[in-house]
Amino acid sequence: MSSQLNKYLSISFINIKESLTYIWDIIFGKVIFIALIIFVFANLWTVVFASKGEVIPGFTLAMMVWYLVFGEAIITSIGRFVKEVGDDIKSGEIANYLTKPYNYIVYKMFVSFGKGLINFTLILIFGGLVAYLMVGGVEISLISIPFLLIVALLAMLLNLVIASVISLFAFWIEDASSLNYIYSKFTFIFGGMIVPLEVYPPLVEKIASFLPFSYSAYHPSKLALIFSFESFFKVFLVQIAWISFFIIILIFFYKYIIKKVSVNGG
Amino acid sequence: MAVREIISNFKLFIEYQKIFLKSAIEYRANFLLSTFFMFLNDVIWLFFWYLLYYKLGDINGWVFQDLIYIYVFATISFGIAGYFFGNHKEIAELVVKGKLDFYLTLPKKDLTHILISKNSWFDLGDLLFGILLLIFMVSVTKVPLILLMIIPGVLILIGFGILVGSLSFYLQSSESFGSTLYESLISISLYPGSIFTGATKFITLFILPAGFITAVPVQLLHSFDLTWFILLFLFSIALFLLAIYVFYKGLKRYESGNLLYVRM
Repeated sequence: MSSQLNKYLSISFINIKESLTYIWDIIFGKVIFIALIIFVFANLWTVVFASKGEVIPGFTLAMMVWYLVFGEAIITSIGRFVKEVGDDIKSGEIANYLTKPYNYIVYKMFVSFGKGLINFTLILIFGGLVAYLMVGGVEISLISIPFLLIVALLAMLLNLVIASVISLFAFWIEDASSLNYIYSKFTFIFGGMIVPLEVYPPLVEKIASFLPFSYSAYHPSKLALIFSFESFFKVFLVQIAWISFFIIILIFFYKYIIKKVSVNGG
Repeated sequence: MAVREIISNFKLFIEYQKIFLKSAIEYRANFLLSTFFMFLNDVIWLFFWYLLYYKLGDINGWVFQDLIYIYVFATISFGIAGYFFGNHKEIAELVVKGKLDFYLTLPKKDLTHILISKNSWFDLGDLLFGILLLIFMVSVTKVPLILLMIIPGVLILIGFGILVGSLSFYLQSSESFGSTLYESLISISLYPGSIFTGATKFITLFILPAGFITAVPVQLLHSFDLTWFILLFLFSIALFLLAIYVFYKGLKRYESGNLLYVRM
């Protein structure tokens, strides 16, 4: 078991090194785009706060913008995972992976997790820089940082596991990019990546905060800004529960699909 | 001669549309899914703005109806540019992977042929969404002016796409950066123009000209200003012509690679 885990961890480590090699591609590609989104929302909230004051009680202008920084860093770190799996399936490339001594979907998850750690760090740095220049900083207690990192990593893992389940639909529809598009929008909006769920009407807020997407974005981002150990334990436990749930679905779904997979020649 | 060339290119455009239609019928599941999911994507985003405006009332004087206008201009422009001139976003890839060879060896105007030889089913979803918004959510008195002001939006999208794609003729490894610039243009055009002021507004007009795709047309719908109306058209035509110039100038530097690929 430990040798299996070492194998997959090595894959993550290799992808971390690869990401570091092509770090400027990542910065001039994805990271700058996300920094731009943060810039746009900083403009939006600055204008709103100037005319209307606090939108959510207890959330300052800086907190609204930094909320987005944390949410973006977690959610967008997985990159084009679903598209890559979909491309492997559509092209038949998956046939090469199925003959290897590792589980294909676990392999792809560890690849994505490795790259995701670099993406997460870069977005925090560059997105944070934009936020700081536009609206200043926020207070985060030093003691909360290790706990926030745990919750952030679990949030990335939850996002990745859900994306893995979605990516398997590519075995039927051949192009899961469309599904991923919708899933990502759900996470952005109803997962509370872009704005805290308190902005929405109470019924929408209540439903959205119960869904798993909110434990990838809303709950971790809010915890970073308004930390308490009680909230940490609650978020931590629910994240573990949702991750376990989706891993079980993934295992059964993947086993069912692999028995039926056929690859076109060429 | 010029008229004959235009007619000839138009006939080629029609033939490509026939091929695309056959492809859509053949792969109808993927076609319908791609179109539907982009449509749904637009619905979700507009719903988000509805929820935000429900909470805020207005954002610096712009109300939710203004967001509807934004989405009408944006989605119809994206749809026309993406569905009928799909390769305007792919210039960089064509250059870097040596795929221009196919076009250079044919007796058709290179850039025109490049632009019309690809379509995007996703963008059809945008187009359908925009048209439905126009029919059901916009007063009929505003429709003629809206349709007129979509033309500069399309020219800016295609022109900007060609411009950033043509960076690949001059700079190695600029594909990613060019793509980021294009996606940034798309993204900024979907936000209410009222949030941009001062220097930021200048950037969104004259550097990343998203403002001319949506914010300026929406402002003109509120209070028509002839100067800005003329500027809208002049800027879009100037950008488009600049893009054509930069492309053909860059084409002289193009070197093919040895990569073989199947054009499907």
